[in-house]
Amino acid sequence: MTGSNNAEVSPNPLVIIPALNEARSVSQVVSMARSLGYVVCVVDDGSTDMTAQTARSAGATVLRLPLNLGVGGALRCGFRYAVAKGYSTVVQVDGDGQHNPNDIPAMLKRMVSSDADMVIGSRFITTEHRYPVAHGRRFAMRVLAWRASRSVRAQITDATSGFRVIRAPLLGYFAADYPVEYLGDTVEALIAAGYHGARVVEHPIQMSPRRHGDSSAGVMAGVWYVVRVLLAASLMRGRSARRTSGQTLLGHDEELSASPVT
Amino acid sequence: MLLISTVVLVRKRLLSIRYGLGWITVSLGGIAGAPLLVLLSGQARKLGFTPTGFSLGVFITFLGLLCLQLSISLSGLHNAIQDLAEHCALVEERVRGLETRGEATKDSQTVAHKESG
Repeated sequence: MTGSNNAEVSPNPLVIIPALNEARSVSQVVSMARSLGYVVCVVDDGSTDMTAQTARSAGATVLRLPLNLGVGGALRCGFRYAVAKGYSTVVQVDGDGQHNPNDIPAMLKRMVSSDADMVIGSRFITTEHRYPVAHGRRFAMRVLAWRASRSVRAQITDATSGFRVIRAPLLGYFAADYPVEYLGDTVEALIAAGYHGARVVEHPIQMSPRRHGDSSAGVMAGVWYVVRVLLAASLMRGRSARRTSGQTLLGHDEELSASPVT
Repeated sequence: MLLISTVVLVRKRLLSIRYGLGWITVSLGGIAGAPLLVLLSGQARKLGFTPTGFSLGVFITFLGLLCLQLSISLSGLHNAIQDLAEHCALVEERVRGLETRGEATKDSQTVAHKESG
């Protein structure tokens, strides 16, 4: 798979922001993305605060999940919306303010120049901007990056980055069957992309420290995360496609796509 | 015991008929299989198992298979819930869009009506 037949990127990619209780930061991310001219879709993953209202007032389309599905589920919902609305390219950005939407144009350019199906915003591709990570966590990230690199047959330095550009046909595959069962959606998505023969490249980005809240990853949680992702990755090989309503949902969404892209 | 519990639970609607039938089959199978187990225990002794150990082994294997089957059911339900939740979010957004468009049309019609009136 090498992107679409021509190397064009949709002139108006959809920015998807999965958010769980990010009322304090999501509006700023939405506003920044919108100021660059992008349409923004926030997927509220069962928040108990004012995330949906805040995002809506900042000008985003909001998809409200009635219960918490995890980042993978929220992203799949966003991908399904994008496919339904006829978008061929999406940009996945975190809602906590750590990703800078100003990097999006450069990532889109990188996608065109390298004819890639997915561009990952990497914190570690250059040594210019050091992103502070604890040694244990960095080690875990290296193991996961090694596993992801094997799958996509390319050098990946930041497999856990949630800042990505994805385009069709990979977007369609993800809309139907994105890894949602574990918390390791970022790594598993790369492995799934590798199985689909997708071309994955990285682009250097700077990531800000979290503005609000704490990272939930402790040492033991990190070790368990790595073990679980590696096990899940080995189970993914040869797995049959989903038989359930992924197809049905997409089928229904074709009706939705009758409405023009806004 | 299992048979009675199953019937009571189904009647109290704490257990669906689908699973109730399954457990009733298991109970009846247990009752019918008990004499067979006694017969087989002689063969098991030849293989070096005690009758109790053999019975326990059969029971544990059966429970393991049962757990696996229930995990399959649970995985299916989990997938269905995730799909439903996503579907719900997409439909809600669509309804919101249609309502907004409907209100806008209504407003423009009201203005047009006032102007013509």
